[in-house]
Amino acid sequence: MSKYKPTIGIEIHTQLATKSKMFCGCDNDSRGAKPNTNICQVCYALPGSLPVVNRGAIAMAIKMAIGFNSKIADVTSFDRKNYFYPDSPKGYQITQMDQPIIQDGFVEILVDGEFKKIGIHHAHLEEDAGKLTHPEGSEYSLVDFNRAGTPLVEIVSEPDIKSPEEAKRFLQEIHNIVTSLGICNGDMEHGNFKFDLNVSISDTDELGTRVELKNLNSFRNAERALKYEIKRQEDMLAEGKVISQETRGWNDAKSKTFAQRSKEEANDYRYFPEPDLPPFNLDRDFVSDIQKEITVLPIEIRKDLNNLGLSVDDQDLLISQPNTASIFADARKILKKDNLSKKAVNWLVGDYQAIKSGLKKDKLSGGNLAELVGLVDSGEISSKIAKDIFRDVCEGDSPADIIVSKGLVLLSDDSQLEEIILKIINDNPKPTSDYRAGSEKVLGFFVGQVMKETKGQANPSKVNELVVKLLKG
Amino acid sequence: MSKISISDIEKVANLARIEISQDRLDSICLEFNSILEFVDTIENADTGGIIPTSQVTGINGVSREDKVTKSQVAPEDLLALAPETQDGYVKVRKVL
Repeated sequence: MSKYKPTIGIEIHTQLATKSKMFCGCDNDSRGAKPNTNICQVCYALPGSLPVVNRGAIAMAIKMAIGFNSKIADVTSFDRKNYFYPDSPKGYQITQMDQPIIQDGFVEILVDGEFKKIGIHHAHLEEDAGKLTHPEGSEYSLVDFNRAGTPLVEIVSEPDIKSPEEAKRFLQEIHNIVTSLGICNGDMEHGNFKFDLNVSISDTDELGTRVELKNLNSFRNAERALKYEIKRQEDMLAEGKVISQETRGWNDAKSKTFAQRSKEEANDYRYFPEPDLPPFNLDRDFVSDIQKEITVLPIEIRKDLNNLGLSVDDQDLLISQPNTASIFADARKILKKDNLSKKAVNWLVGDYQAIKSGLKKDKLSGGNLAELVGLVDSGEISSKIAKDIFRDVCEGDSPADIIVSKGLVLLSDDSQLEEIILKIINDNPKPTSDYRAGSEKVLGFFVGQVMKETKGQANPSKVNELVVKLLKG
Repeated sequence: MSKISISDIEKVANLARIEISQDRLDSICLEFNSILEFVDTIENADTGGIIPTSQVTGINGVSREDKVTKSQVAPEDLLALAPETQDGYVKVRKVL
């Protein structure tokens, strides 16, 4: 155990899944679009053009605030952050500094079976910049402004994170929240969800010198980069070296962090209130209408699933799929018992995930799922039959209707089963005498034969009971 | 007492990407400081307890519905404004 304790704070950039951009009506989805086709006079900062705030982006930020247990500002306003770079036609970014829309919240993460609160310092709305590419070996760069003006929310955590593992959980939890609330598509490969990690180490109560790891986009790399960086800082201090405050990147291929050229200092951005946008008084009715759209928060689902004893992976899956989570919630209300509810989860995280994308229509309901679990539990159908009819259940049919129409009701009738078993005993004298000579393991052979004969429709426990009875003669 | 030094002028000029020739630095420095002296006069006003004001129109929260609309200027006309383009991209000096 190292004597140094790490302190980690995280900034996350989430692209909002609005239809149009933050300050103009350009299409916010440029996947597959040719460069510079989703642009207008506002994205291009033509003189005389004016930004107008997208109400949809404000609504999404309010949802996020609710997900972060945050205060929603009464008044929110925009500021200018000045910098010159070819990805910004205006020469500044419209962002929020003085009155961000989300202030002072927290999220709860599950670490070693315990819930831990990580503070959210604030989160603010801003616009994305254009995309620069640097063709190999060329003396120029190319700019595509399709992304310029995409709404972003930058989430700034408190430095409450104490380990790379906690950092990873925190990132996953934020990702869960923004995707399940429908705020962000969460596609990390396409830059929907990127983050910067601030890390320092110290062996006293005073914080060490902070290093910023810039622009990561995978949970795994966040954890790896932090582990590497903490080790690097420990080694430096052990050698009596001084850690310099700097920005570093992560080289995935080399599994190393590396120093980057530092950009402007914060005060070099010359922030000032955005003169083109009046402040936004958030109407309480507007806010409460948005609140009503959120039926259940991810953390509530997690706590419920955690109490049920489900693994963190299963929790994550249900939380990241709001539809699946609501199927579960409905099924749970009917099933009530924890052991049956867990069976419903097994269907949802197993078979349902496997066939979901190939369904003609995805119409699995909580009611039908509960019915299926109930039929297996009461022994009316075997789990094999349940598996066989699951696709039809997912496409909207009631399990009870399917087993009736396909004649799949389990054979529990003693005389019918006894007739089948006696025939199998007569046809197989060798295993029969083996059993009678004391070989218990041939029992499985007989049960298997009965299941084969009945096409899996026999009640397994009933079959077992009868086979033993008849073999003993 | 001058508040702004020659090196401040050079830094601000660099941030604003403005080129200032060496022989003009002294005079700009003087002008800059005299403007700041003027601001000093305003700073003498007692503003205790007054919330900073950056907007005086009283207009509140102008917003629009989240709907895709067509640009008033055709994207190809916007692109044509760039000094240089290539394959639909704006071409700029190499930045890394």
